[in-house]
Amino acid sequence: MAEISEALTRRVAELARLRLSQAEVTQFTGQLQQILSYVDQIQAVDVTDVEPLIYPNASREAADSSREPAFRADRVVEPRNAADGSPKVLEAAPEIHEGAFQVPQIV
Amino acid sequence: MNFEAVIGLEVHAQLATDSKIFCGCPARPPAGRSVAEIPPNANTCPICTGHPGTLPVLNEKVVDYAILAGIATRCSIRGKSVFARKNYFYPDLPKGYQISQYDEPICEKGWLEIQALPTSPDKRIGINRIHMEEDAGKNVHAHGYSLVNLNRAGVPLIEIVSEPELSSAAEAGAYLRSLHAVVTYLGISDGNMQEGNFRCDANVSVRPAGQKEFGTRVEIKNVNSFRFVEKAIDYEIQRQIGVIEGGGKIVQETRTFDSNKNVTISMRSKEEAEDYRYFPDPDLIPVRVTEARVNRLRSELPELPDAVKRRFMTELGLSAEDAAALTSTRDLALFFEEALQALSETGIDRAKGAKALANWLTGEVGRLLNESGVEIRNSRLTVVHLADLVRVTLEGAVSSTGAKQALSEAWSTGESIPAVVARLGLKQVSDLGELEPAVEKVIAAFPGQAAEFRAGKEKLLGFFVGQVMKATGGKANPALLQELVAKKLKQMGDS
Amino acid sequence: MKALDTARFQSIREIHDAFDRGEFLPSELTRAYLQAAQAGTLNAFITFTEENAMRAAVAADQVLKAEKKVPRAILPLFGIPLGLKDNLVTEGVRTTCASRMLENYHPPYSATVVKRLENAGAFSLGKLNMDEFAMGGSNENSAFGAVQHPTHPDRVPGGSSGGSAAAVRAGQCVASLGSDTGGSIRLPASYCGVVGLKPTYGRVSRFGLIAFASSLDQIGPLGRSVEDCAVLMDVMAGHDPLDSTSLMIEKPSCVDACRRAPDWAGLRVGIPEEFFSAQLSPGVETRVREALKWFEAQGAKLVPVTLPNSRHAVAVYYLVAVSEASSNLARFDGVRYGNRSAEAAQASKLKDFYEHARAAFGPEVKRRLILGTFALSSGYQDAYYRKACQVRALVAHDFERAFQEVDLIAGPVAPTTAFRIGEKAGDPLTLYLNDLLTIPANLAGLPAMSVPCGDGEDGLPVGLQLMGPSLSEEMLFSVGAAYERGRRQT
Repeated sequence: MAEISEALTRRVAELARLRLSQAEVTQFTGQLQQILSYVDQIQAVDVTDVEPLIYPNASREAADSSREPAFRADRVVEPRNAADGSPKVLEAAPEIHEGAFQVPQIV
Repeated sequence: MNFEAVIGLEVHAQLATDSKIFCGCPARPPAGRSVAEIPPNANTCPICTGHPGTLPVLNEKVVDYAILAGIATRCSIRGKSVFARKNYFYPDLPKGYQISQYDEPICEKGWLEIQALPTSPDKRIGINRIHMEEDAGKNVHAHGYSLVNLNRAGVPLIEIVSEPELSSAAEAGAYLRSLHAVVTYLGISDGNMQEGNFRCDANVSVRPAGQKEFGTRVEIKNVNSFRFVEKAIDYEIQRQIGVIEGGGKIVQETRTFDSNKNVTISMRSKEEAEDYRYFPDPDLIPVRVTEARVNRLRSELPELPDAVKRRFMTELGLSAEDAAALTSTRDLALFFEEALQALSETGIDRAKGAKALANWLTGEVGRLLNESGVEIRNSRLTVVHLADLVRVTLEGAVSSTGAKQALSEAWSTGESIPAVVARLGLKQVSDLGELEPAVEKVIAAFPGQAAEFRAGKEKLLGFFVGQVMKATGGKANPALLQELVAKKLKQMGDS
Repeated sequence: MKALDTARFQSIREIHDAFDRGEFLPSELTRAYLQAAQAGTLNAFITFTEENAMRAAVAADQVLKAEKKVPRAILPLFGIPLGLKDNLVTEGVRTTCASRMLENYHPPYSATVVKRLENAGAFSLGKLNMDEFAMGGSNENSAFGAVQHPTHPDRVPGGSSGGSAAAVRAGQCVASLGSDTGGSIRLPASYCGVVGLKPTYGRVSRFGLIAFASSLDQIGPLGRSVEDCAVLMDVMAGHDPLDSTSLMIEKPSCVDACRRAPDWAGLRVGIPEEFFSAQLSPGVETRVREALKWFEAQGAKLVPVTLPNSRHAVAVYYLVAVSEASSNLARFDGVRYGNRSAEAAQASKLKDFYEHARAAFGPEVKRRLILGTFALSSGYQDAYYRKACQVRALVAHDFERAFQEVDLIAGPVAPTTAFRIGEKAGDPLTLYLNDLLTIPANLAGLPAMSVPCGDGEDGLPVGLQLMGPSLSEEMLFSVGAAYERGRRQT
């Protein structure tokens, strides 16, 4: 079973771009350890030759191998504009500059 | 110690679809406009900007194009392939993951034939895989902030991964040119390297000659011209050998190529590498490809560069070098064939015409194209220009110098070859009646040399021809002239 | 005119009949629901859209005046005010997912289901409270405050579609939409005493549902009657070209199924022993067993079945769901939409920017994102994410085997009735285990319904869960509606 250390919690939080306070690190480490010791029950399950179930519809799809999934035809759908003629998607943006999404300088 | 290089290439080719891979937004600017002319984010929607709740739906043409690439490179096509998410954070990546394919790509295990030099034997380079994926957007860095433009986000790409079977920069260059020809012949990619729709990452390592194990691999990212790839690889091989010979160790890292200084520069080491947490994308059920689809695509496959090259050699008698050069892009090959057709219609022998056309296209025309960076289809030159050019030279109506001059005019103005020839008076004098007096005059002016010629010093023929050329302003038909001068020299001696 | 008592209506059909008789106009009905909702103290709504609703209701008034009768055939939801869980995006209408992250998010498009409901004559009164990003089973994890139980203010309404269940029960909307990833429709439906359905995975388009776990999420209806849920299902179901996982099959006729009596004599009802373990509260067990007896009395055969791998369901679920969530929620970065805090705006490093922007997630969301990131990370993915997907296949196989013997499976929705607010706070695992009986259907992608089957010894509602094979919604509606009719008669 995986041993959850505070260092591991920090590393994973960083990977998820979440900043945790020391109190959160302590609390989450304990809770994650508890949850993992529970979910580790699956380690004992024999899954030899068992295909992972990723798509709940997969067995339905696989039943008919001559069928292809629904593709989209290569047709342009013109993007929508806002009332002022600018791209619609910009309306929800926190900060825009000359039609682009502005973020702090990336180095 | 002798070292050998081991090189593998990962090529990203943008597919020439109308719409993006997972939504209906335009995938490229309208004809005649460049990417730079599209306002930022004008080609985006909630799906390709990763708005909450949106889902991807796969563009059928992307599947077809990926399969075509697979067929052309003798890959096997998977009946079922899977999209996976590559997770990382970057402002140009709207969903926080890139939808790509990971352990079940659509095409696997093929090969491509290359020829590093016109004289080297053909070599088979293995293709490990071809997979479909979406492109990211573009960050523009300004002072104090960065700007994100997502017009490119969701544009369809195929990534073509070679086996590590290339052993020199020249081979890598040949592989890239060959692959570029394949995708452009198929019409699945514009292959425009300046616009970034055919770009390459190179994995380079070196090892002592004969050693089985690979050396430590360095990745050179995003090099965007054939020449730069060759330079970057050459530099990297020498750098790695230098490090090892200096007693150092190669660090597994990602480097970038500085095309001003012709060096590679370290970007990040393996330790800083992201954990991408690839897993199957539950939003996209596996891609099923039926045999019927593969068969249909196989039947629609256009003639590929290898076949065209072989045909040019066997049917037209072109050299391997000329055939390779003419088939480097589909446009050039088509241009050549159309010009040859036009030429044949004037009654000129096909093989003779082909050789002459090839000389022009790989020589003077090639030089003009290279210098200007223009593709032949975007230049003012038409197949009619080329056919006329070859015809007038083969017929002896215009000298090769005159023809070059005519080409240069046509290149810059688009004027027809006959019009340029007439306007500039480039037509050769082929009328014996017109040439005779000039020849007689020259022979009369150099009686000593004439006598020496008659005494057996036949080399002097060139001297007389040159003098007549000078006198006629270079317009005399050289072949005709030579014959005439020899005849006159003899005649005038007899009298 | 006396204000309408919205709590009196038991079905859409009743309302349509009243429209036909000219008892009141759609706008009068809508105003009454709006008043009930806005005066309510349950905290069921996050956002009200009274202007949109009244505009649509007044337009319906005109149609009704002209037609004299409800145009049921073309507009099965004519004049019906609904509530939408706030993880369904609505163009121009604030959609928060009960998170500070999306506090001011006005989406540029609407979910497919929302459009379909509107095209059938319905409109929304507003956006319903929920657990943040649908992560929770008690509706205590909302950035906009917990939702109260509609009849017992000290209790939770269940989650994550707590607002959807509470509002329907309290007469604050006629019916509502929720989403169910591990029981998020059925659990609150059971706790609040309303009907809720989680459809077969792929039956209803997820386009416009803010994803929690893509391979588990399904949108479904909550209503005061089985037939109301059927009306909504008939409108919502069917392939959507914008969702690759939506199935390309015929739309179901759930309303017809409700009116059709089941073939009781041929019906085999599976009773999974795993669902009747010692953990059930006596009140829940009594009510559910009574319901099963009623089935038997109609002529159905009760057949013991076993779902041995369902004991791993919670473990599998929490690995799969959080893994997918860790990727699904990566898009919330404050670049293109959502909140950007002052700290984020001033960040000088990219990593700081992300961490400040993502600080807007609540603690339960953070906990699950960390767990999910861990389960997918290099070195752990095979043992956690991938292994969980394999055990998930075993859970699904159990159902396939069982459905060779029986037509449907019946049992409780939850081990207990609604628990007290705060009772399970601070102990995530205990709360996760509460989803033990609802999760298996999500893992297998199967349809499952919660139908009220009486009150427990504490006076709180108990839900009976009916699960069927893939795409058996019509059968579930037929049995559920018959049971509901039978219970109302006794």
